Amino acid sequence: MMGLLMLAAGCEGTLTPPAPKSSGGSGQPPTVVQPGEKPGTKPETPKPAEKVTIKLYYPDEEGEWLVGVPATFAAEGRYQAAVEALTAGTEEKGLIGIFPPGVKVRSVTVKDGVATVDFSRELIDKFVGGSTGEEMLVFSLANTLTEFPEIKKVRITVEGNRPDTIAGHLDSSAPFGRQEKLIKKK
Amino acid sequence: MRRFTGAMTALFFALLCLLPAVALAAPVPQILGFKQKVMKETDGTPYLHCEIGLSAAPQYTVKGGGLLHPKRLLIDLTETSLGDLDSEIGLKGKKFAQQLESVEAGAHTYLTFTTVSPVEDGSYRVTIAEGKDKSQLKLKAPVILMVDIFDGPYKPVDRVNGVKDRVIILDPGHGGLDTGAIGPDGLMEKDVTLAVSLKLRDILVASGASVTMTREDDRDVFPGGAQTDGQELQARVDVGAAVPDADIFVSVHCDAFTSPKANGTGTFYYPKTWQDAALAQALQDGMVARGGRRDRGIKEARFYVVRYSDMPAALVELAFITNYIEQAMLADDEFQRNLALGIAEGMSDFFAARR
Ligand SMILES: [Zn+2]
Repeated sequence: MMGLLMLAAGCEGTLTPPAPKSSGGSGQPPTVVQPGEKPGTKPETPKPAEKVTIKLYYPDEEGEWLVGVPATFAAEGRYQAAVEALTAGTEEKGLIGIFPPGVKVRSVTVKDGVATVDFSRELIDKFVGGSTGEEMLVFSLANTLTEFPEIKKVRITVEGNRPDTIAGHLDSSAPFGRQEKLIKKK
Repeated sequence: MRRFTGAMTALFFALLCLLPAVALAAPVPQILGFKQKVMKETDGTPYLHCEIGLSAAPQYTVKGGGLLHPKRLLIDLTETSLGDLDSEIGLKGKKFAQQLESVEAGAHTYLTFTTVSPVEDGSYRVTIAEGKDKSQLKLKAPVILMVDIFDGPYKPVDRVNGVKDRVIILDPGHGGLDTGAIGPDGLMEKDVTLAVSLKLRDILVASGASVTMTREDDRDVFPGGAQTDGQELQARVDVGAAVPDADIFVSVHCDAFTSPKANGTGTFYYPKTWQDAALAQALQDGMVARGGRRDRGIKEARFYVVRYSDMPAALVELAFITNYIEQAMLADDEFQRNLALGIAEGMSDFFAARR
């Protein structure tokens, strides 16, 4: 959890997400408006004080399946908080964090059902790569964000640019939908 | 066991006694001429091809190598006349053998080749061809003794059935500035994909297929290096698109994962047609059968080169370069050969099912 807080603190010029509920943080999160998000204008958007529980999808050590781990976030800033929790990795046995060390979540914006997640360049520069690695990274993100019913697809950008691929295999020019097939069935 | 050996020895001597009778019945062979030429196997491996023309087929034994004379290949022709063959002949090509010494003694003719590399299994071939026009060098003689000498042990390239006249595009993953994934000991994906693809090409070409590769050395496919990954990947697709009647596109990669535990062989495809999955499954089965690694199965994925290639296409993942054991295997020549053969056999199965 320290890593998550430090990572959040290290995000220059971006919104600081509220700490997840499990950290025992007290008080209301600051009222901030995510770009492209207008609280109160859509009926499905939770009120700022509400909390939402979704699953964060981490790959198993064999790179075969994505496994959902429940996590609760304050409604306000929930997208960025979820992606930051995902990139910080996991302590769950048998699961791993797939995002490279040092990668920062610069912003998460949602428009017309498409979430655009902007990462720092470490996403590509520091990534171990591989077809399996690339697929697991992309769909751990896509499957996590599509847990929010208002998000249907996820686009990855790096320092504001759309990469053709993350590691040289997967065509990342268009947004990714949810991949149920990769999720481990209990 | 001892009694069995004794019986075998008795049999051997009994056969030996029969040999002179056979030789006497036939006319005494005489050497009529000698020709030599550096030639190439179908896979491009060069060798020195020597022909010794004879009037009749001789009995002969071949002795080669050993501790005392590792670089000597001796052919002992029984009951054979040397004729007017030069006693010392310099040999062509320099890297195969230096000279041939011939001597007749006690009704034997001894031909001694002084080789450059030690004589061992596979470094030479001795055969007899009988009948008209058997010479490959227009040597006129009813019997030709052929001696082929390589610059080391030659292992013929494997062949597969059913790929003859097929047009195959091979794409060794990554290359040039793009190393691909890197193993814990520094093994680079781009080097393994090229090594396996070249071996695969040799098998396919020896089997009669027409093969076009996106790269044959360590380079970017986009001339001068692409500005974007998309340009580089499209350049690989374009290589296939430029080949008329290309049947399949196969991209060769090593897998990688953040955890070193991940291991095994897998194949990715994009379902443009039903044939994409069929090709992926055939290649996967071939690799697993020959490579013996864990079967991760085939997976649908939006991978650039298989999605945009206008023909059945698959991207094979040989094994995990990020796994310690598999990294060592991927660097091994024998494992690379096995995987190449497995992929070729998979192609053979795919074409057979489609016919
Ligand atoms: Zn690759």
